[in-house]
Amino acid sequence: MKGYVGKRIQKVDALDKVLGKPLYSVDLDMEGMLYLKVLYSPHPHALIKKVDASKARELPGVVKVITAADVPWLKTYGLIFKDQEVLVKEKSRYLGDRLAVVAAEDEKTARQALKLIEVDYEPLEVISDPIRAMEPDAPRIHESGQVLCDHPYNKGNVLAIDHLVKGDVEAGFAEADHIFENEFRTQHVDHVALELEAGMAFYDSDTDCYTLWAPCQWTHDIQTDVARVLGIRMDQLRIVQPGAIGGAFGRREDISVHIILPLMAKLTGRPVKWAMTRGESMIMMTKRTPFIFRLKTGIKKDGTITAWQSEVIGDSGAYASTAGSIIHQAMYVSSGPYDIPNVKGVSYTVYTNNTYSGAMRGFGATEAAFAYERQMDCIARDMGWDPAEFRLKNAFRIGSCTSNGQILTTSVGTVDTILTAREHFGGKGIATAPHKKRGVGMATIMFGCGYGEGFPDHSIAGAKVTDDGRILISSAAADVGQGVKTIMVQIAANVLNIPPESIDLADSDTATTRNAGSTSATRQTIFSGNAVKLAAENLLGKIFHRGNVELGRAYPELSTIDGDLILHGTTRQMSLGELAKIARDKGEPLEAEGCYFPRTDIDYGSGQGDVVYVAYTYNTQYVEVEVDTETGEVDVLRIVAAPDVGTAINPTGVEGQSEGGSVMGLGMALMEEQIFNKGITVNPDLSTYLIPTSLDVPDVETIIVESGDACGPFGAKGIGEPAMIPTAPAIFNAIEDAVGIRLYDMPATPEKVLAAIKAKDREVEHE
Amino acid sequence: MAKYPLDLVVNGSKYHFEVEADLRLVDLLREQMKLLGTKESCGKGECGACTVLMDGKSVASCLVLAIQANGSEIVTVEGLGGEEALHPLQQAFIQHGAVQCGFCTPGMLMSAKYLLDNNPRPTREEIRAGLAGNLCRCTGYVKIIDAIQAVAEGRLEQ
Repeated sequence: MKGYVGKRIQKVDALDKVLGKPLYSVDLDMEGMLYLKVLYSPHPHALIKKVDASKARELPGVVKVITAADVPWLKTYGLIFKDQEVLVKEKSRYLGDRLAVVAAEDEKTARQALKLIEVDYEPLEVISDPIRAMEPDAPRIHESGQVLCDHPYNKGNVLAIDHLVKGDVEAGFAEADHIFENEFRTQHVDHVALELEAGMAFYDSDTDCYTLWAPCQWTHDIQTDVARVLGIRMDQLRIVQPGAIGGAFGRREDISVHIILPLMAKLTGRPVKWAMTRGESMIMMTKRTPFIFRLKTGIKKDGTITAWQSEVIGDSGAYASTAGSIIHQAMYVSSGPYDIPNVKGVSYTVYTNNTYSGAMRGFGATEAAFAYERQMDCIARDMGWDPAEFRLKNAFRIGSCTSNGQILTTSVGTVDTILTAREHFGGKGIATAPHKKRGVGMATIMFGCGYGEGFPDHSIAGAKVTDDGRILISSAAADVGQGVKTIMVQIAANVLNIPPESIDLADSDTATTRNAGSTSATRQTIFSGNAVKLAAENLLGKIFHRGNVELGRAYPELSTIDGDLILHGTTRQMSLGELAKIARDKGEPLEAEGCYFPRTDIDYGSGQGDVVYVAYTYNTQYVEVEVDTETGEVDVLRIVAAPDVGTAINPTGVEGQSEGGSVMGLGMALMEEQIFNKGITVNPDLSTYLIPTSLDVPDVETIIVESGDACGPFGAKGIGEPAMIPTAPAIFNAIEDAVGIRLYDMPATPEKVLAAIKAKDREVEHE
Repeated sequence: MAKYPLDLVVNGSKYHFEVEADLRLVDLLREQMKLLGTKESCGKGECGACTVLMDGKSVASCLVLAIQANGSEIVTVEGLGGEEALHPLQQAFIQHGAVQCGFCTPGMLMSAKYLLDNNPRPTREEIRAGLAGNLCRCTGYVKIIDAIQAVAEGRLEQ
C-alpha cells in the first residue's frame, strides 16, 4: 500500500534549517564552560622523549593541562582494533597523534598555552608508501600488543590479509582467449563535511555520570567504546546528538572529540567544549583509503568473462579504524556486478605514517568500482565492444552468483539501470571549440546494503500514541542531512494512515532511544526503516486490539484515518488520543517496538557465503565531458544517473543523494587529493584542498529505477553510498573516449590529463 | 587588549559594542549576539558558510573584522524571514529539497538573496556564478539552483 510512501514529502527538519535554528555541536555552550585545545605531535613518526607542560600550567586562565603521564589508566580505542591511544605515551605514528590537552577559560588562552608546552622527540623513518611499509626492513609502526596476522611480509606493518576464492581462477584463465592486466590507484580524500568536529561535555559528580553532546553516526557504538576507554559503565555516559549534524559521509563513525571531552569534564569539574579547526580536522581525522588494485581478467572471444583476479593493497595509515574491513570489502567487490564463475582475490591492509584511513561513502566499493569499471572499459575498447553491450553480456541478473557466492534471487537492477541510463542519455553534443574534445563514458556498479558478512546488524525503534493523539517515533538513527528522519515519518504515516504532520520524532539520545546501528553502509532506509515499520505495525495491532475492546468490533470493521479510529458503516469513532488515555489507564499503553535483525553470513577463509548482504543497490551513470586539449581541463557537461533503489520512499530524497553523491564522485575524479609529503599534509585547508563548487558541476539528471521487491520497507533499498560510486570511473571512461588517453590513477588533474595528451601526441608522431 | 566602540544595525536593530581590534564579525554575531544561524567552516573565506549581508553586499563574516562593520547594516539568516513570514527563498529551499545537512544553508540563502537583490531574473548560469563562493557537500547544488530559479521565475507554490 502506498499512501505517504513514494511521495515527495518535505524534509521534516527543513523549516528549522532555513531559519538557521538548529544547534549544531559548535553552537552549544553552558554556564562556566571551559575551552579545550590539543597539542599534536610535531613529527609523523617519532619517539616522544619528553612532554613538559609546566610553563603552560602557569599561564593565567589555564585551568588544566594533561599529558599521557597524567592519565595512565586510559585504555586504547578504535572501531575494530583498539590500537589508538587517547594521548600517546612513547611514540607518535602520525601528525594527528595527541600529546597534551589544555583546558582554559577561553580559546585564545588555550591556544597560547599550547605554545608553552615543550616536546623533545627523536624522529624515525616516516613511511608514507604502503609498498615501503611492506618491505621486510621497514621499521614497525606498531611495536607490540597488536593483533597482527601471520604473513610473509613485514610482521609489523601488515595489519590484515584477506582472501576470496570462488571457482578455479587458473582454469578460468586457461579457458580465456584474451588476458587483460592493469593496475589502478586511488588517493587520500577528505570528507569535507561542512560542520567541523566539535562537542561539549558535562560531568555530574553527584551521580558520577557524564553527558556528551557531539555528532555520531552511531551513538551507541561510540558510547560503548568511550565507556570502555574511561573505565565506566555504559549507563554512566549519556550521548545526546546535537540538534542537527552538518554532514558525515563516514567521518563521524570514528571517535574524534568523544573521549577527551568527558575526560576533561571530569578532570576539571566544569563543562568543557572542543571545536576543531579545518586544518586540525583534516590532519587528525580519517581519510578515504588510498588503494592499489592489480586486476587480471580472462575473456573469451565472444566477450564472456571467464576469470577475474584481484590483488588489492590499501593504506590504513597510522591506525586501523575500519580500514581492514574497507580494504577486504574493496577486494571482494572488485569484479563488479558481473557473473563470473572464477574469481580470486587477496587484499593487504597496511599501516603507514599517513593520517589514518576510515569509512568514507562507499567503504571500499567506491575505489573498487573505479578499478573494475576502468578495467571493463579498457577491455571493451580493446576488443571493439560497445561499452554498454559488453557490460550487459556479463551483467548480474536474477540467479547470478556474486563473487562472494551469493545467488541473487530478487531486486537485481544492473540491466535495467544500464538500459534506463543509456536511453535517457541519448547522444553526445558538439564540442564548443576545435581544441576541445567531447567524450561519453558509462559505469555500472552494485553495493551491498548493511554491514553484511555476518556482522551483527540491527535497528530497534519505538512507536507510541501520545495523549494528544500524536504519534511519537523513537529511533537513535542519526540524520546527518541525508533524511532518515523524514522517511521514518513517511513509513510510520503510511502504516498508521496518519498525516506526517501528526508524527513527532524523539531526539537521538542514548538515554532515551534504543540502538539503531550506524548511519553508514547505506543501511538506515532498510534497517531503521524496517524497525519503524515493524514498530508502527505492532502499534497498529495494539490500537485495533484496544479498539476491539472499547468499541466491540473486530479488525475488518476498524481502520485509522487521520488520527481517529473509525468503525466502518457507523458514525462511531474515537480519537487516538482518547484511546491512548483509556489504554494507559487500563495498564496497556499504546506503545510498541520493532526490531529488524536479519541474518547474513560469510566464511572468511574463502569470502563465500549464502547471504552476504541482505540487499544490493545498483546504479548506472552516463557522463559527457569536454576535454580542453590545450589546458588539460575536464568539464563535466552531463551526468545521467539511474539508481535502482527498489522503492523510492521519498523521490526527492533519492534525487538529493544521487545529485550530491555524483558531485562528490566528480570531485574525487578530477580535483580532490589530500597530499602527504612524508606523512605531512601539504594542503590542510579549503584554499588548497578543492572540492566542487557550483561552477564545476552540471545538473545531475536522475531517473529512479524501482525494481521493488527488496527486503527494506515497501521494497526499498538504500542509496547513500551507491549514489556516488559510478561517477569517477564514468568520468575517466569519458575522458578516454574524448581524447584517447588511458589514465589509471585518480584524480585526473589538468596537469595529468595534459601530460597524457602530450605523451600520446608524441607517440603518434613517432609512429 | 584595547577596546573600540562599534555601532551597527543587525537585522533592523541598533547595537553598540566595545570590541577588541581582532574580533571578527562572525565572532561578534555568533558569540556576543548569539546569532548562531551564521556558521563557520573554514575560517578563510573559502566555504561561504558565514556569508551575511553588509550594507546589502554579501561578505564572508570570517574575513571581516567586527570594527570594519562600524556604521554598517548587517543582515543574517535570522533577519531574512521568520517562521510565520518565510522569505520566498526559504520557502523555495524547503519545497525544492535544497536542504540536506543544513550547515551551508544560511550562507547559501544570504548569497542567493544578494544575487536576486541585484539580478532579479538570473539565468541558471548566473545563479551558478552567484553561488560559487558557497560550498555544499551534500546536495551537488542542483536543488539549491532549482530553488533560486523558482523564486526568480515566480514559480513558488503557495
